[in-house]
Amino acid sequence: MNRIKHVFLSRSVALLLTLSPLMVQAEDNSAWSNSYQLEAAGQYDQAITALDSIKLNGADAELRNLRRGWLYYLLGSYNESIREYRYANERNAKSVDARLGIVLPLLAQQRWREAEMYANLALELSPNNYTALLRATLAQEGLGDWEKMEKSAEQMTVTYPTDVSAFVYLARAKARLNKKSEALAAYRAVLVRFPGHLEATAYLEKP
Amino acid sequence: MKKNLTLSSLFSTGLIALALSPAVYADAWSVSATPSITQGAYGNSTTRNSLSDIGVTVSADYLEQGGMTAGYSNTIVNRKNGLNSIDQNNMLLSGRMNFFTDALPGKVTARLDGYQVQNNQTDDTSKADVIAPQFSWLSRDNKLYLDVGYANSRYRNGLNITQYSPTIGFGLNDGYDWLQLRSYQISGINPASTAGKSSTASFDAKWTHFFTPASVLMPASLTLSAVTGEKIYAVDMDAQSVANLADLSTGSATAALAWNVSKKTKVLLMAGQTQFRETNPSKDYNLAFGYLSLSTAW
Repeated sequence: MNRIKHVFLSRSVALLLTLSPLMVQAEDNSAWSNSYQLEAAGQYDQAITALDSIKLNGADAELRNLRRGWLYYLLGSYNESIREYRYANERNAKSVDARLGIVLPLLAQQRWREAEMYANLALELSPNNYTALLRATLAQEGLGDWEKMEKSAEQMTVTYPTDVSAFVYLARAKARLNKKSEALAAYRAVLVRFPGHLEATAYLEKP
Repeated sequence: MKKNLTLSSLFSTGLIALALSPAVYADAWSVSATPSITQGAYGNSTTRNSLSDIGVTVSADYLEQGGMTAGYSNTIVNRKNGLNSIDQNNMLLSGRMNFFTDALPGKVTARLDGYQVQNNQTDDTSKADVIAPQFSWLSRDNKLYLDVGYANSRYRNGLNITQYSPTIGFGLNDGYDWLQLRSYQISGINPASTAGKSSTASFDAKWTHFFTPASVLMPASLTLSAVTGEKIYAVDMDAQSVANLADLSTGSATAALAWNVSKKTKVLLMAGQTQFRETNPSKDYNLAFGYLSLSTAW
């Protein structure tokens, strides 16, 4: 009887040991799932708290940092967002996501030069990356660096010729550089891609 | 959610960032040099004839995180009645650190200026060491600016001047106009140099309109400023200068035009007149001056 009990216990323990990683995984997945649902509900604060059970140095630590960076950004806690994206970048120096992510809170805080730097660092890892080009252009617009903005926007229009935003930023840069005929051409290109675009229509009516 | 300006957030956005950011990034540092020249003529003064100043400041900033400025200028005041000229060296070292706040959206700047002036005279105000900290906040929408400035000026023979200069600024007209109001409260003055006053109060108002120049010949901004009240030994943290040579100032008016000659080159031209009062004998006089600077960044 005792032997049977011992065998049963041993098998139970073995089964538990086998299942435990799955249980932990299920628990972690529920943390992610909760966080996504709370984000969708606009409860960013709680979406961050839902990630507390994710291990700081576990397999998902980098994703935890990236997600917390994004949620803090949505919450308007830009310093915390920057911190999380920096942690993510420290964990994975090749992460385009971390470099692109940090640009968002930097733009929100109007730290244009830092934002441009990180967008350019993302472009080093991923040349012609649309998001990186767009965010670099936004930073250059904030800086009032119309020459650089013109160059970045031109690169976007060549790489992504269907994109409306690329032509809007190109037109703005041309207009600020007093290149009126080129600004007109760029705004016309905007209207071809987005008929009725308000900014383009307004400029073409009164350049 | 903790949205306050915490120590960790300060470090995450400030000092540590310096270490983590790629030091080799070419555009991380911006450096500029600004040589300047001032010429002035005194009117109705019993002792002063003309003023000239030539100087240069060099600034270096790391991204938006902070920076330093060093400056040197030489001031000559030519005097009348056989009095020898005043020949003064002015030195400046200034550091600043920016912090970005989320709870009160904007930028906090902690700045510390150090000034040293010394000339060839031997009176109380011929040598001064000045320490001037300033804490400022600019709202993220660039519509409100506040600062609290303090300066402690140590002159010869124990003359110890204290200055408080609270400031408020407003961005108006979608950022095309800027209005700045600053009060100077200066105490510790030797009553003998101000007709019995040991403290002075004055009020500065400055209005700037920004243009959208269609060519480099058109100015980028026009600034008009006026000062009322009285001040002496003032430390101007905008101009980064110490007024150790002047008598009691009783008002001034200036106009300035700035041009963006290129993306990296700016020219500032300023003209104005300041009223002064001599104490012994009591007499009003003025200084009409012109100022020109050329700022080049790289």
